[in-house]
Amino acid sequence: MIIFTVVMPVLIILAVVIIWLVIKNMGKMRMKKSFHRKLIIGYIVLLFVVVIAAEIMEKKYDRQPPPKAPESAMGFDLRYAIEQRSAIPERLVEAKRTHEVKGEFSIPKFYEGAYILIERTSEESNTIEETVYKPELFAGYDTSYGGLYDLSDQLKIELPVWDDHSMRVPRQPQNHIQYTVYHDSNMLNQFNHPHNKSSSSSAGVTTGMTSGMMTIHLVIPESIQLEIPETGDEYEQYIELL
Amino acid sequence: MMFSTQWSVHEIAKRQFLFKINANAPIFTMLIVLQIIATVFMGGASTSGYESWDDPFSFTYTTVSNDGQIGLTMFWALIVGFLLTSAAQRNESFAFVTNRLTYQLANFYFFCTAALLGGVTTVMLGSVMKIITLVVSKGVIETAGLFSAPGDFFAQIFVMTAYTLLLMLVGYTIGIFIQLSRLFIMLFALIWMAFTQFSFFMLSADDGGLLHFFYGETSILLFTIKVLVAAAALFGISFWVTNRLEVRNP
Amino acid sequence: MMPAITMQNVTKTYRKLTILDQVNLAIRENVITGVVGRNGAGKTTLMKMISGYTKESEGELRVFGERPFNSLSVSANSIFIDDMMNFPDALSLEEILVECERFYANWDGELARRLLEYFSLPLMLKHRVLSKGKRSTFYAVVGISARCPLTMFDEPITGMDAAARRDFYRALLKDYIAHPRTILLSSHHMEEMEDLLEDILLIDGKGIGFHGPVTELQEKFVSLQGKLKVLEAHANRYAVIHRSTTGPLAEWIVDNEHTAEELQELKQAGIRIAAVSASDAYLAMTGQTRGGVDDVFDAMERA
Repeated sequence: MIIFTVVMPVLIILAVVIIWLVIKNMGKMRMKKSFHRKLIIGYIVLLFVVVIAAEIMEKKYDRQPPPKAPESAMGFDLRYAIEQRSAIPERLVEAKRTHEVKGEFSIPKFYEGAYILIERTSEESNTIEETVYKPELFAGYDTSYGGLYDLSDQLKIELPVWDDHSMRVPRQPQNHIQYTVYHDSNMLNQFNHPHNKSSSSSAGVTTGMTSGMMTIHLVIPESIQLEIPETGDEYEQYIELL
Repeated sequence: MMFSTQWSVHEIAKRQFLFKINANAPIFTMLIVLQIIATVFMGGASTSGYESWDDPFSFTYTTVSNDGQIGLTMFWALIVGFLLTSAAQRNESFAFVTNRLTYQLANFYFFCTAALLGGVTTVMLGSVMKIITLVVSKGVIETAGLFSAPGDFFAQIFVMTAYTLLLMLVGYTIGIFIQLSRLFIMLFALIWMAFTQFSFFMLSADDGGLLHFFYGETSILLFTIKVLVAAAALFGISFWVTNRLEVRNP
Repeated sequence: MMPAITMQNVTKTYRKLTILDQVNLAIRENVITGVVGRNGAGKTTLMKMISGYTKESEGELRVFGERPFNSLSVSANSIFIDDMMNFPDALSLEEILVECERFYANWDGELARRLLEYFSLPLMLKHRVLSKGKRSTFYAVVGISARCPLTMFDEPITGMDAAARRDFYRALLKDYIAHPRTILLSSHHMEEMEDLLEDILLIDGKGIGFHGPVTELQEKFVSLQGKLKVLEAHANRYAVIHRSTTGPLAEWIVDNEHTAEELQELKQAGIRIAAVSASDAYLAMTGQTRGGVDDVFDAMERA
């Protein structure tokens, strides 16, 4: 707050002095009045050309914005849903597989990129049910008018690799997602969007991410002996027994 | 009548205005320079995202907007308002035919012109950012343009012009008071302190607040009325002060 | 004919400092009036008030029948030229001439251009870069070419060289004869503008010291020339305003108040009686001749 009270006026006064001097000296320079007039007219003409060009380019490139994130996606907690066995939207399911396991089952140490939830059942069986949930990525300018985009499709994942007695999480592909959007200043759009008053003034960027990596839900019967290395401290965070 | 030449107030105000446009042409050049600075150096982009060197996942979300240009244009507006209260400006006008009313009217016309220029160029500058977004960043244009939504485009120009005009008049009124007495600097400093200390969150406040009074208005008609009333009030105050001001007073 | 400017008990004060006190005045229309007075006497104050720049503190001031402060008509029909004209820095001389044309109905652009050419002032220059004398010349040209019914020059010749001063007075007089108007002209160099003036307005001691035709001012005084002893013998009954000695002869300037017999007596004593010049009369009026600054140093020596 002290910044606004003291530093800003000082900066403003400095800028005023500088601009004042520049304007004064511009007057003293051997610039004819017509120079300024030509400059202004030229500038406006140039801007007009730019406006038209931007319109044409926008049409030509025709980049459609990504789909809007569904309302229900907001605030959805996947882990909680799994735990509570509540309904999970279909779009989140990447793969549903079953695997036969002989005797012991182990998950070797893996590089981060997956979050594993293990659920034990009292069944006598050697079949493990695996459900892989996609990571999700939402981003947007303003949450208040449903402006979040669903960028989940752009996230690439590599499914776990199974053999008779282990599941290996491969190193995940690089996901470098860059998303750029042009948005006219909020300030000018006070009449153009039926925006929500409560957040109308906060012009920040919001990004929402329910999960940055895939979630693997494993249902493992009691009869299968589980071997999870518990050595690395970092490693542990990615496996959780329900 | 003993006068050989008789002018109407309107005629002299118009001529004073034309004179002002000529005499203050550098002010417009300054606007262009500031807008170019804003476009080149500030870029109007704000970036947010997540990045980690050992993580296979990184995400950068960039919004490009014409915020930078708007900011500098508004800043320019405040300074222009202030500049026009200088003694030199007054003496220049009074070197020719004028009285205090025509002088004020000419200044007001000048502000309207400058505000319109500021509003039009700032909104149009958004297209420069659009092209940069499209070509350089391979991004997406989120807001509608001139062809797809001409109404929005002109509404933007209107809003920008209104704010620029208001800021000019605010700068002008402050300047007029300071011309009257340097003691007003102290008063304005105090007001500024109070403003920042007590209602700093005015920007995000839902209710009340001076900025919200204009910014929170979603009806274009009500907004226009508010702006007109504010402009008239500021003009009235500055006229009341100027009307007693002596020119080339030692 | 109605006077161009009238003042009734006009007082002007700046922050408790009284510059002009209870001035009564009527300036004739279409007459060149010289406004003279010592530094700080209030010549500039008077003219600024007449042009409507400043407001009279008390009294009634009328220019062409209207109060000048905030009067558009007075502004349109008058121009005030001084050495701080404050034309915009951004405009060249030529562009300033265009602006003048915009505002002054009687503006003669052709005359202005020809005069500037004569005074070798390039039109594309900015007025700020001109030398002091050239700048004054430019302002003077603007003042002449505007042909305002009321034209005021406040120290227009500041910085001008002798030739430029002569040319300016000549140009002003010629244009005045062709286009008569009311002109107020203030200067310290009384002797140079003497031939131009019809009326003299002498400001002295916060008021009007003298206002009337130049000849009337001259007639107030008379110059007595003769041997010092003769002067002392015959002319000691007069209030001597100025004494000077050149060679064997002394010159006294005295009030012009004698009867015909007295004059005869002086002539018989061998004293030459001559009229004084307007500038001598002005100096005598303002007491600028009474010993002068020498007295200060003489007094210090005696102490």
